[in-house]
Amino acid sequence: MNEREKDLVKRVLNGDLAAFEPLITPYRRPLLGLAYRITRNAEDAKEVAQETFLRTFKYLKNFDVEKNFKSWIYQILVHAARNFEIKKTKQENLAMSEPLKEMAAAPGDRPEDRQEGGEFRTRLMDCLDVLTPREKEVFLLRDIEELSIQESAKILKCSAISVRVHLSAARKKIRTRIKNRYPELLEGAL
Amino acid sequence: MKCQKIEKWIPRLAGNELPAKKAARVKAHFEKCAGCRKEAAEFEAALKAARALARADEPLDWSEAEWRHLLRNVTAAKIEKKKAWAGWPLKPALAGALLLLLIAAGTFLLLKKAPVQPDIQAALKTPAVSAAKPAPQPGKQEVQSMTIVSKETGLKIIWFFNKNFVWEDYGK
Repeated sequence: MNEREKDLVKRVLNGDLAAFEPLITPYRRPLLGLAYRITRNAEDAKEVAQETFLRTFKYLKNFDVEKNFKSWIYQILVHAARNFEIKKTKQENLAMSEPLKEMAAAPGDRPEDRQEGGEFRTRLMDCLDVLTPREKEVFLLRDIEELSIQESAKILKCSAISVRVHLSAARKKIRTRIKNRYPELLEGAL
Repeated sequence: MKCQKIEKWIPRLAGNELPAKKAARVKAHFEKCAGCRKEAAEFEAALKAARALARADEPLDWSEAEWRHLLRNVTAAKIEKKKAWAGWPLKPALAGALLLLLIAAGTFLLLKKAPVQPDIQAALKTPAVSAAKPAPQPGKQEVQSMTIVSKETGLKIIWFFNKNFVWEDYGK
């Protein structure tokens, strides 16, 4: 954790609420982007990111200033996203009748699944769709956010071996997806 | 080295996570195997493509008004006090120690309550006093007894012998 962040954390804990904004602003877009890639929906992503900032503020006293603030805030986001997905699935299951559930099973058919943004986002989200939730988390943290294996393991509260196993599986699936659907992306590099 | 083994390592090689020794072995294999070389190139290209897509993706953001509103909501919350147990590194160690202590205490109590099995040798040495028999003269041992106890059923058999070591039925 850098000195600036340490200082800002101490200021917030001493009651200077204005210090919270400069503390979280560097993570504003990265966290929202990661939340979007996990939830596949802009409104859900905003909700998850807001929950992340709320928990960050509420539990700032629990944060050890000698540790990495980025890892901590990413950890909060991943857990907030998981909780959000569980809550959402429960609500959907309660609200939906059986025929609607069957329709919802096909990804990309739901109105909220229609991805906003440009072609790049659509393609990236299409590639991420083939991954399991754990593979997606690992792939996003390690290969997209470019965190280390150890940092990813810490954020996901699992072992480095587990991260490596899921990462290998995720890379295989992503490579197959890109090769089958977007071979032009590989052409330049090969 | 077989292609099957190399294929397992290729995804890790694409992310530069393979230890140097293994990476060198994989690269040596590539010189002989065009198939594995092509596969590794595809993995690297796919990874680069995914990263490029993520970078090219226009980042989502809140409008300034939404961001201000969010900050107001967040900082209106109360900072919670640290829980007494939160983040205590000795928590698992203490739980383990407590468990061991409980097991030790339980074992001790069980052993203490268990009936003491009479030792055959001790029983042979110990004179048994029978009310039916007149009191032995000091220095002369009239009766010997032998106790056998089944460990499984707890059945106890006591044999009495006279001074000539001949069995006598004192129960009658």
